Amino acid sequence: MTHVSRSSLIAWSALCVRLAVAVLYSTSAAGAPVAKRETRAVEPTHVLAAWLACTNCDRGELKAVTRLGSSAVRPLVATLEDGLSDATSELLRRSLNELYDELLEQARERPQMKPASTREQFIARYLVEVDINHRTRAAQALGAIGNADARAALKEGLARAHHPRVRKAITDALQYNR
Amino acid sequence: MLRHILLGALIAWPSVALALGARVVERMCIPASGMPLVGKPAPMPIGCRLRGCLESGAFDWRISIDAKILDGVELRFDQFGAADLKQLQISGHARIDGDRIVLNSGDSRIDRIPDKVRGTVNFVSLSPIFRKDVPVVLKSALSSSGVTPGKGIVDQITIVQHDGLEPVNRFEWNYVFQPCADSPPASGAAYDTLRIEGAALGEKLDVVVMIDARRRTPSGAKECQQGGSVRQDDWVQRFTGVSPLVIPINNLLTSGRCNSEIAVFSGNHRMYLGRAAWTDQPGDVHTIKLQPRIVVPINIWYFKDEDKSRANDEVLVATRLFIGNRVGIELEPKFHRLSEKETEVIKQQKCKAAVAMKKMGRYIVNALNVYYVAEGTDRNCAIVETPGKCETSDKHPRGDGNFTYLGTISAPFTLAHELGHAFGLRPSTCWGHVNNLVDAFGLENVMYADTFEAMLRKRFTLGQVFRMNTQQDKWGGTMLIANGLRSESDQRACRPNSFSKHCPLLNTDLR
Repeated sequence: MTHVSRSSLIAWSALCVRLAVAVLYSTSAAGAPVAKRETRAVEPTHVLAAWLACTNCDRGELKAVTRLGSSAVRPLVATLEDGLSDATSELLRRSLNELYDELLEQARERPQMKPASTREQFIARYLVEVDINHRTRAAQALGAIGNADARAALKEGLARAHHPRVRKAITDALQYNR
Repeated sequence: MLRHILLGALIAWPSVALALGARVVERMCIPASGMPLVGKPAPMPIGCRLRGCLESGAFDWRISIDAKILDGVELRFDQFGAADLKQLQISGHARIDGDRIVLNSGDSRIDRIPDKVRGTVNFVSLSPIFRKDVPVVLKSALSSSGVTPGKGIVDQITIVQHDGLEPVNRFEWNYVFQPCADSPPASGAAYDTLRIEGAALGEKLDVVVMIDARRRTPSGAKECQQGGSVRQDDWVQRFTGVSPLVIPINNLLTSGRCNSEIAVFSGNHRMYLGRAAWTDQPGDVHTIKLQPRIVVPINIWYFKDEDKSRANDEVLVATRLFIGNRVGIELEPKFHRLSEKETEVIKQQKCKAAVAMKKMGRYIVNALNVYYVAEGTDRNCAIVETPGKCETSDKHPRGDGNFTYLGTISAPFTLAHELGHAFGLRPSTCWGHVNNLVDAFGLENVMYADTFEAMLRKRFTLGQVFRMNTQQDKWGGTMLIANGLRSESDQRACRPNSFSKHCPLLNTDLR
């Protein structure tokens, strides 16, 4: 089990303090989307998830995670070790399964449009990728936080990680805060 | 006898709730009489969004429903019968009703929901419940809210899963309700006729019709119904039946200063766009002959066989999305193998690699070219550099809309998303991406960007589909026109964040 300090556990549990956010957009009463300022509460889970799932990541997602500080270490370590949560993984699996069914239905109408992958390959392709992305992002965030807990977790993670991209992310993260 | 069926309701797309903490928007129109048709229920897993929450094994749900139109929502558990439901602690505006939980407007709690049953993740499905007098309720809500008729009223449902005090997962739905377009004229009333023909007599048709025209209001005044102002939306309605569809519509008038056009959207036919000349007298008949879907050649360039396999599947997903959302096109892929060196050129030079690819003969002119390079991000290169702000986007030079590269595997709809840009949904900062357009778009939309978790984005709105078929901009417009697959006469300068009498709102939609 990766070492995580008591203080970070407490800090994470105490993170019901919501973060002020955001300039969002809204629709006008007329239905036309127009710019509108709105203040909305965002939980730490949101902040972490935004970083773990972003693709372009150009909206300050990593910076927001580092602001969470040591309280973010515990869920990041858990993500580095175990990837997606069971609930998220099952939701994605279910969704991909449904999409594959739709492709088969399409192929029944148009035989030339047959999936190149089996159902298992199709689901694994995307699900594994999301899982790896979560782990590499967790490593990057731990590197950016850079405290003792985070470094210890990265070192332990390096010993356990199998996928080359995850290993590289951990190595880079350890370099980052050397 | 009428040979068509008027579907006086917007059918919600099967609403798989892939929100994972974000908002899903469902638009529905309410017919003047009868109930709206609702899609499949939205499933939600019970449990933490991320690893590392306490995972005590039982979660407390705090549910907030702000319902102006709905009577409430119902929750059904995949693996819970009526007896299991009695084990839950329920309070607020929630009650058990047989094998379901019914939630009415207000705040409610359901405590101690186990995340797993016999080792399997427990899922709950959410469906809206409508009042019997929903058309009256909607009319009343529209008049009391001050919202212009034809626009939407939003009901919001938020479910936050807690582990103790900690919020660990969140799902949000915005149901946007609006009245359906007017019903067929009553027997004996004065009307005009729209006749829509498919390729063959008796062919099954399922079309959405958008009409801009001058009409008489119930008070007798004449006005333009054409979108482009806060007073009016485009008139949009769905019809199904066999060819020819003969559709009576309330008497339309000579156009005057109004726009007088018809667009027809169909999964199996290319989008029709044409002018219509109505007279002030009833009895006009306007005939439209739909043409087959546009077959869009797409050249897929790949290095590894696994990328070819991925590309094949993503072309199928994109085609499904284009047909399902009535874009009126299907993709016809041709696969070409790249060398490792050529792949490296694209990885290094990104959009600027278009020049090198052309020189090397690794590019087919006047056609879509998509390069699966298996590393980095994804881009359509219509604009060389992504503008940081919409206001300054005009300063950004044109690239090549036919050049797209896809990097690391992300989600199955990624190709469809990038082709949305190729077909003119750009710049991303001018609502080419629909992130943060609250109440108008959620994670269900294909052009929502920057998260790879939402695996089943399914929607292009009609406002997006219209632009994909007609866009004219300084970056080459839609590649459908640039590549000679649609007529230049269809061109419209309709940036995603603009609307006018020639450009429907981006979120105009009807299922």
